[in-house]
Amino acid sequence: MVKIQDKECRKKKMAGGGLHSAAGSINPSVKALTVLVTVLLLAFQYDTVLNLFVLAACLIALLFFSEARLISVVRIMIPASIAAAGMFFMGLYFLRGGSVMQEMGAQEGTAISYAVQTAAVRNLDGALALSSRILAYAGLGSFFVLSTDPEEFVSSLIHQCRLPAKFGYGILAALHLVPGMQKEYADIRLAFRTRGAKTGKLSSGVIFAMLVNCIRWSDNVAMAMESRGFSDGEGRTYYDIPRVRIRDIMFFILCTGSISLAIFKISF
Amino acid sequence: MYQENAELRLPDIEEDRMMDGENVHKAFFSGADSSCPSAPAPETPAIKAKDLTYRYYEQGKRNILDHADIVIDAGKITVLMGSSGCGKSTLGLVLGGLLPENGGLLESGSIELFGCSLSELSSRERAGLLGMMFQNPDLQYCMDTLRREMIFCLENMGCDPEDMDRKIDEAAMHFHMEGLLDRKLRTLSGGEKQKGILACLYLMESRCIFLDEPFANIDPEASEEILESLENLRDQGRTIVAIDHRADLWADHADEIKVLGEGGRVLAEGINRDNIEDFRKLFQREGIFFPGEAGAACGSEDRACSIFSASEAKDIRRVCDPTLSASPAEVRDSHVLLVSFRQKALEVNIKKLYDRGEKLRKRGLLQKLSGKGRGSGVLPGKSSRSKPILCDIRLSFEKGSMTALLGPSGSGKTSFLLSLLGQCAYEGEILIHGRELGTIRENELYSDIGMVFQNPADQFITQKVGAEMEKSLEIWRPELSEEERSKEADRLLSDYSLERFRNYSPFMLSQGQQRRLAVLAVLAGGQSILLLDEPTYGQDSRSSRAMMEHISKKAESEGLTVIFTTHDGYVAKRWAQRRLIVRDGRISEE
Repeated sequence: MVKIQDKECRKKKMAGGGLHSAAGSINPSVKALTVLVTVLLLAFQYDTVLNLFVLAACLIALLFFSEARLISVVRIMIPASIAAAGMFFMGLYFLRGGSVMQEMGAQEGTAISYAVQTAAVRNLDGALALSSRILAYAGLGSFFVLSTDPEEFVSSLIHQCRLPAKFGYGILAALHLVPGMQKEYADIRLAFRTRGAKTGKLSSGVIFAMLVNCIRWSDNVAMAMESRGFSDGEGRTYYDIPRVRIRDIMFFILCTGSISLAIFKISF
Repeated sequence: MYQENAELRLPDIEEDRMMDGENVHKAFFSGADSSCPSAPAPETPAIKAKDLTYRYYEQGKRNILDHADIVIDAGKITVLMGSSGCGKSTLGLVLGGLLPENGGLLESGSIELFGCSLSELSSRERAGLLGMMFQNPDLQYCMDTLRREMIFCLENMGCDPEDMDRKIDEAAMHFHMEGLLDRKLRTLSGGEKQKGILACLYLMESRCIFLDEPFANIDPEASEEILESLENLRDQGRTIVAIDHRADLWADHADEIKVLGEGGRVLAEGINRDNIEDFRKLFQREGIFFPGEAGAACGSEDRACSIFSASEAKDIRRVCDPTLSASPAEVRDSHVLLVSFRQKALEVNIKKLYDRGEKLRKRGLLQKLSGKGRGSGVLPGKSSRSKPILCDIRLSFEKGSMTALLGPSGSGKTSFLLSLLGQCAYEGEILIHGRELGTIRENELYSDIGMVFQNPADQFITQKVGAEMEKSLEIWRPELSEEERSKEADRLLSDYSLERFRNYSPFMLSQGQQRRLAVLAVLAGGQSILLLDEPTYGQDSRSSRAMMEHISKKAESEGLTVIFTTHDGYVAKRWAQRRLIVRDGRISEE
């Protein structure tokens, strides 16, 4: 018993003390499936309230039931809001098949604002639904990304979704190289400029050098992994095997069920 | 139970097998038994390789390993030395079974690890016999914390999950790394990362540990600590094999030094601290740092030395100052005199210098660092709480002087160099030939200051060694015709004995060769200030001497101002007139 507690405690430590909040403790594969099904359900609905409800649920879950920091939520939501605004105006002008501008052209001069208004009112609902859906998707995406530990997700994919271990650990290793790549790009660009070579924001020469380095890196990392005895064969044990528990299934049923119910009610 | 295990310093391999009892672990070992004698006789060598011939390309003509034979005794620390590009690293990878599996062609040869044929071992069994540690500490981890990496290793070895925590704690205690287990790896220093790898290998119970230039990226204090850990492991019955350039680091720790020549063939073996004097000639001929000499040695047949012969030095001196009498011994002294009345190339007067990350974070990583912002005393915003990395720097660098920056890793040596390129935020002023850095346009600045980075491969802008030089000449000396350019490129390449690689991709060169090429390419622009970040590491004594010789000749004859960082006190003493120590946020004269 003591040992089990010890292991639980260690697991928490491993995840940097976090991610084992309510949202973080859901099996990542089940969580991914839930998000995916919700996205599909919302895709066929034009309902602003439902979208906003999903968004609110995601934000509440993130801010109160996970370790996600407010700043990282905001960082995702700002570009999403811009996209949503774009969607809104596009919907407003083009939703009913024709452009508001065309209708406006027919009544040249006298009543421009009136034409825009009538067209806009007709399209307002649809535009709102479209843009709020973008926000709902952003909410779902950030809910998954910010409340899931990549290591646990990959581990869950290996065990629940039969992802080959070689693939899973390859993804993890690559993931850990990404921050290094950003620095690498800045370094190489500086190195190029000191040689007198011209570099734009995305220069092909710099990218080429970076890719060469990345290939070298991936070679090195692969060799290091292999020299630590990594192979896909049998005999590999696992420190911690993520399992699908009843509460994971409950979570899935609760989320998808409530949304299906809401859709059912709206439709009839 | 727990306490007992903690006290067990290194579970003897046999004992440990029994301790783990009837779990998967045993299955692994019994699997190994099928191809291996279960208890190899004590005299079985750890590694026995015969007639290895290996090349990277099937059609290639150059064999990296050419009929190489090597035998490494079990239970000893063996160091393999040889000049840059002699095939040491390749030999290591072939012995570890990572090549030709990951590329290349092994034409002939057989390898035995502790009496088992390498080709019959699975990667897990291989890892149990031979663990590898590589040069770059950043590229050896699959996970993001040491604990996770250790778990990954144990999982690979088929260890029982119940035992993992105990083993990890024990290994961490052995290496005094308990506090580092759960820290993100990117927050650890290079030395700590290398030690972490060693802890992983310890954990995996690899009977032989193969280290490929383990100290290339870490400072001497950390190296010493790792060397002690290695001796400790040796005393517990493990076999240690290391590849390195520097005999001085290893002289007191190694049981045997082997010198490798062209094609990875062993030229001499059985060298230890007692008879090393007898091999001084060999070390010099092969261009390897001999302990205590560290690059000062100069074989008479070495053409590198002719780059800057005494008579040439006299000529230079006469041109510069005809009143002084010309004796070769005085060349260096008079040089110091000459410097004193030369003008200042660079004046630095900085109150606070921030590290580069600050600026990148502030301005967005991919944002163009242009015009007004660059270097003109940009302050990080008030909201940022980061501390300056260096304070109160008042330095001036005279034209034609060579200055060494010494100090522990992470002390800010590289940041200081980058600040001269306008890459770091600072309060104060940097004057280049009397002009404030912020007011100089980028192109102009880089035609005046060149820098060779720690990773020379980053600087190559073409795909061929020859083209690299020609491109450089084209950018900085557009007046040359195509023919002259190609001739000049050949001349420069042959200066650094790189002409035979003319049609190679620069990425295929060894690290030492790459750095030489980078220095050449940067100097081709006729820059008046040259910054070098760790110019001699990863190179044998001959090539680093040839390079530094070339640079110091340029400094004397053309007034090139050189500032370089190094960990190597000998290199600093030999080549720099002035040594600055970077420590605790200050720069002081030695």
